[in-house]
Amino acid sequence: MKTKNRILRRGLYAVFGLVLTVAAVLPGLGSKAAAYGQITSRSIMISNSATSATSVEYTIGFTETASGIVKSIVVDFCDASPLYGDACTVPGTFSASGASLTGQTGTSGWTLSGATAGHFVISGASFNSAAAMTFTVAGITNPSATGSYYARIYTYAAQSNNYSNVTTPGTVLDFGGIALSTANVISITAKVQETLTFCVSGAAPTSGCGGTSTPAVTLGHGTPAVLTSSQVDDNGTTTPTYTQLTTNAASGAIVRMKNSNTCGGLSKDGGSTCDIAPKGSVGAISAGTAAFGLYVAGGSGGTGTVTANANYNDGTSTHYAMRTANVTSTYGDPIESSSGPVSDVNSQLTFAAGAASTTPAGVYTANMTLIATGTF
Amino acid sequence: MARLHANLSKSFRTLFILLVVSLLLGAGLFKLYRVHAAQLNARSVMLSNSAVDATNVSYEFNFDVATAGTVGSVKFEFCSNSPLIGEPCTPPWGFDSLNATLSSQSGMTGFSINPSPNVNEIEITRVPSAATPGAASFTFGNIQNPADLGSAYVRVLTYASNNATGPETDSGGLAFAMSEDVTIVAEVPPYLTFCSGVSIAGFDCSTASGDFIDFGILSPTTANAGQSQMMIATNAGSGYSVRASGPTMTSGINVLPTMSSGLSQPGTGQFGMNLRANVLPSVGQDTQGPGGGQPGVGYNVPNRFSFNDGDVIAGNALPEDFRKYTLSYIVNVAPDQPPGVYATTLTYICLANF
Repeated sequence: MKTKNRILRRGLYAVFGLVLTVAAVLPGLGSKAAAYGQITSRSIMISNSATSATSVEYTIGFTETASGIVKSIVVDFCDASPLYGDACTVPGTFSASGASLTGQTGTSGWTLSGATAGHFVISGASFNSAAAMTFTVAGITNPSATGSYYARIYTYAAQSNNYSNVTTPGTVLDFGGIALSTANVISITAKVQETLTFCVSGAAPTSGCGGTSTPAVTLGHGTPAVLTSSQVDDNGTTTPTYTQLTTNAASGAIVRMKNSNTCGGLSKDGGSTCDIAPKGSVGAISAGTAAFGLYVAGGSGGTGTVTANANYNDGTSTHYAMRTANVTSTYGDPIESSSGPVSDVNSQLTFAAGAASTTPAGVYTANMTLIATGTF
Repeated sequence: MARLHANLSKSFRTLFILLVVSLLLGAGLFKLYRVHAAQLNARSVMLSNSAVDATNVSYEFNFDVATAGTVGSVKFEFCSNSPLIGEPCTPPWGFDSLNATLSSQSGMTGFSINPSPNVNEIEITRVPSAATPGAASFTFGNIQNPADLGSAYVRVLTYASNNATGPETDSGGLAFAMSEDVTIVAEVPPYLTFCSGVSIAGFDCSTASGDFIDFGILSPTTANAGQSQMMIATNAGSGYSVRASGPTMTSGINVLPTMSSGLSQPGTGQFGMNLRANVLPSVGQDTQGPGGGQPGVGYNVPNRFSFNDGDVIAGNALPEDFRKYTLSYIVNVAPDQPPGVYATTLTYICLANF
């Protein structure tokens, strides 16, 4: 029993001794001689965190707390540790060999020298202690790996300091370690598709070509409506016609019109002949003259501008046109257009016709095709 | 035990590798990105007809080639759902470009149609050759439009290969729209304006007045003359004719003979008329007005007179734009003409041929 207790006691003493020894030794094991102060309020702001980015600006900022006068600063870049004196490997493809000092605040007259892959020196006129200053260093290449890397900043009282290497930095006034990090660039993709919405309607369309009806124009007066030589009739209030245009085409859109009758006017024989002839260039249609034409009002409502073509709008709403060669060409005659994107812009089309006393009796028709073309 | 240990190690190794790969994928190191071709700028498609189901439609494409390099083929893919390159493409219902023809090309030339089995694709091909950045244009004919109103889309892609395979060089989307035609209807009714009177002012039928001509006392030495007027306007496509209906002048059983393109001969029993300005005797006027109608045969020679019941005395084979005729009547009597009141009633009938 006594033996057992003795053994136990010895063991305990050994343990306590070990603990005390470790407690006493540990501070010594883990630290070097603290002969420098700590640089406070330190940071390095980088202009680009993308891996392998070149021409990156590093703005080193800190507040010097040394009571002495600082005349040089050394910055080392390491991949694994910011700690003073620790082993240091330049992070990946990081390079400061092309570094240049492009700005400084809180001081002046400093220059950069000794730039290598992971190291450079900034030195010059002294500055007072406890001052906040920044040094902007350009021309740095970031590491190629995503993740953390470190910088170590040393200040010296001597302009030509006794820095030897990263593990032997020499007589340091103050020191501070900084953690940096590269990060993945966030790629943002957003697709905006080309759009062109165009409709022709017998009723003024609502947004998005809503509320449309099949356009059917009857020209004439009286009941039933007939064309006579006594007056010119239009569809402005009786059977109106509208277009609506919406497009994100960068260069806008053009609306063209074609007449199904190869003669360009109103025909009672399928387009072979037009006893009610196309008006031609814009102008008035006189009562007693057999002519057919169009007036385009130009855009209203919505967003953006749709402009009537001057050939179909000379400023007088009772002037009409129907250019024979153009409305019977392959792609038709431009009647209105926009120079950029537009949304829900309506335009009223007014057709008009008159008959002469000799215009043969009959039912005259035409099919007008409207075609919108956007340039994206 | 040792074998178990080895198996476990192998499993752990495998798991470790999988874990590392997962982490790397998560970190994005193995992420695959779609390489985007350059965009075709200033691109447009112009249609010759925007009616649904229209056939034989021409589509003219214009765009700026963005990339200098080799181009061997160009693909035009028509979709109802989206212009975005790489997205699924739904062919527009009813659209058919199987029989499309390449009717013109400029800027980038030397292409021919490469027959495609897809109704919504047109592929053109050439021997791959250099393309200079700049404007290009291609027109395709004989295309059938989509069957639905509204928007549709085209994707245009250029390739270095001659068969539209491999990565595209340049690309761009387009939108176009099918729309309704505007149907115009206008009816011109048939009309005929016809009036007669002793006189008509201008070309206004409302001014027609008088229906009785008194020749006075007939003399064998002097021709008696009188006149009336009639006016006509019509849009009858085949024109009109006017007939005079009625007997010669009679008094009981006594009759004044009618004339047949004869000269006026006082002392001879005659009744006749014409529609001209006469000198012998001085009566009547020539036809007036913008129209083109003419007096009928036998009634169209000055100083010669005719009358036959039912004769066509005036007419035009075309529509008439206001024509006023002056009818000149003459009466001559022989010295032995039986006394009496000689009279007749003439009716003028205008027939328009529509």
